[in-house]
Amino acid sequence: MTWVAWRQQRASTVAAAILLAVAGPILLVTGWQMTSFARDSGLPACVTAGGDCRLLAEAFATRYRPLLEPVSLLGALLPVALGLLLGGPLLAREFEQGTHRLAWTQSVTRSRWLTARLAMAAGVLVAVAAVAAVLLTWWWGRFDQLGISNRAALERGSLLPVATALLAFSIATAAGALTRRVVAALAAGLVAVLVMTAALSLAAQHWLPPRPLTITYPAAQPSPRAGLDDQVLSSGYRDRGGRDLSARAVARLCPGAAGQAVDRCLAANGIQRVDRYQPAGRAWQLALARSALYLVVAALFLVLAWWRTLRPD
Amino acid sequence: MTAALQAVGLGKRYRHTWALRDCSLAIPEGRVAALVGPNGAGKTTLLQLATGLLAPSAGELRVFGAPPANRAEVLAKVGFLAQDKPLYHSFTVAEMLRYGARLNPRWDQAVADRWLERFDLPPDRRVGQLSGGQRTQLAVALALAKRPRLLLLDEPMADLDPLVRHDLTRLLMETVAAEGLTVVVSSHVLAELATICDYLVLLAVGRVQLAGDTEALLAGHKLLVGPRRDPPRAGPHQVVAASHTDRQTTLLVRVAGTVHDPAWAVHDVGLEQLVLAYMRHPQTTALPRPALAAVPPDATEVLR
Repeated sequence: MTWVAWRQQRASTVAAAILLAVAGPILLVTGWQMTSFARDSGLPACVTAGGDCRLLAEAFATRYRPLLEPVSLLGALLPVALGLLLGGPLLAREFEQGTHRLAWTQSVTRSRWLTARLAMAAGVLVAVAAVAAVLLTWWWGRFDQLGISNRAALERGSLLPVATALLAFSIATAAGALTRRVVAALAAGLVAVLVMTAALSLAAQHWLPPRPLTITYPAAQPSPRAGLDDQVLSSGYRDRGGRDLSARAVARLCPGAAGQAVDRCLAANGIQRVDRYQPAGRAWQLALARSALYLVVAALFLVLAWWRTLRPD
Repeated sequence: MTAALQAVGLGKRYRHTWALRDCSLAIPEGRVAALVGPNGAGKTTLLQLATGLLAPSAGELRVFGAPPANRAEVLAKVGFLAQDKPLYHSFTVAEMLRYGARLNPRWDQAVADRWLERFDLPPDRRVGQLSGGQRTQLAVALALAKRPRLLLLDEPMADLDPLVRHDLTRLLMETVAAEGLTVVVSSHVLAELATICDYLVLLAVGRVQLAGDTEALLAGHKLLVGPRRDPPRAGPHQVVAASHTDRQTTLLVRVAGTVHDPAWAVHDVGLEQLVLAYMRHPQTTALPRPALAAVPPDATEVLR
């Protein structure tokens, strides 16, 4: 059964390797460029010496900020793409081409067949996703080294790409077992993965509730926590009695005011701003919580795929 | 006597329609059974129920006395060729056979090689590049090299040219005779099967209309030709089909004993003629007289 599982996995393994071969060099080359640019500018030396490196960091950030968005997107989509690629066709193609009737009428039970297929696909996926995770952790680690951010590698690298890939894989596999069409499995899988990752990231925040920070007006517009590398999730208003106010209600209090007049008006009305933030030190806990949630939900989708496949029509 | 395939009150429903209903039959071991019926009669459904690919909605079905559930020892006994001959198109012919070898403990590589050679299938050709006929040959080789005791073939000849059909039939029968396996072949063209089958199951819309040993069926039916008789009656004999000219009546009857009425000239019927007559009159049924079919489900143990 191992040979059979591998032979059936071969084409999508090659496709996954190609995906990695395209994404990998992009990360490696830009990562190396960043490292050498920073070294030439003297930033790492400055950080090590413990001096005021804001100007050097600013120069570095200005140059490489345009890369952050695309690499964030690449880092988010690569594991999803790998998971969909290996999971979507796994069962759907068998159903679509009728070969499940061939596979299930050999001398091997459906459960053994499914175990072997899932184990082989998941094994290949974990291996490929682990390489992607190492690359992404390394890339985002460039910023950590420079003292610009110390949580990017945790939030976007570490376990998360592997957990994301497994979540996408099991969702796409289940979608394939339910829809029995490759294209439908991929489309439904993609939508479901995006919804699930967004929902589970929120759930992880809920699990470790953000801390509130009350700011009395006149207040600096960017949150004071932002400079500390904390992650500010939301801002709200609160009146003297501690009740939450909507932005519209706050605007109604100070009609026609602009600039500093707004701050004075808000202070006169006893309005405070409440920022909710995750402290930088929690980054690893949040990353772990998200990864764990992804893996649990992935297991649930695999159970769904298992149940649907083993049940005779 | 053990039945290779036995169904009691078997039914399969897809949502609101019954594809197969109240189907009772017993195909004895060692027979080559033709499963005949118009399109949509439930032939494929019956075969897929026998492989365990489908689960019955009613009644039960046994393969060598055991339900064809998802169990390795039952799976190993049954070879199945699905109607669309599913194979992995990216595999080469040799890989497809390796697939069979890896998944079947009773696999006989010599059988597979012999078939490959006889049909001149190049081992390193991809399945996707084979012709429809070659794919059927490969699929049959795969099913036979598994060395099943029951071989279920769903419309195996549909896309073959007459020459290949003839060769394949001959080879299949040689193997069947040598191995003593039971075969159930479905087709909506009886002519394909008339020469090879010794058992017949005719399905009308979802029901068994006619089942039994072909020789017994032929002996039990006669063609009566005599002066015009309208309405057509033939004493104790059950009229299956009747046709009239101005002066003459021809009846196909299921005989009860000997035909004594001297007014009738009695002729033998051919298998195709018999099947066509029943197919034209789907309400008429003829099930084997010592009816295995009538055995209640709890008594099936005794039959093994």
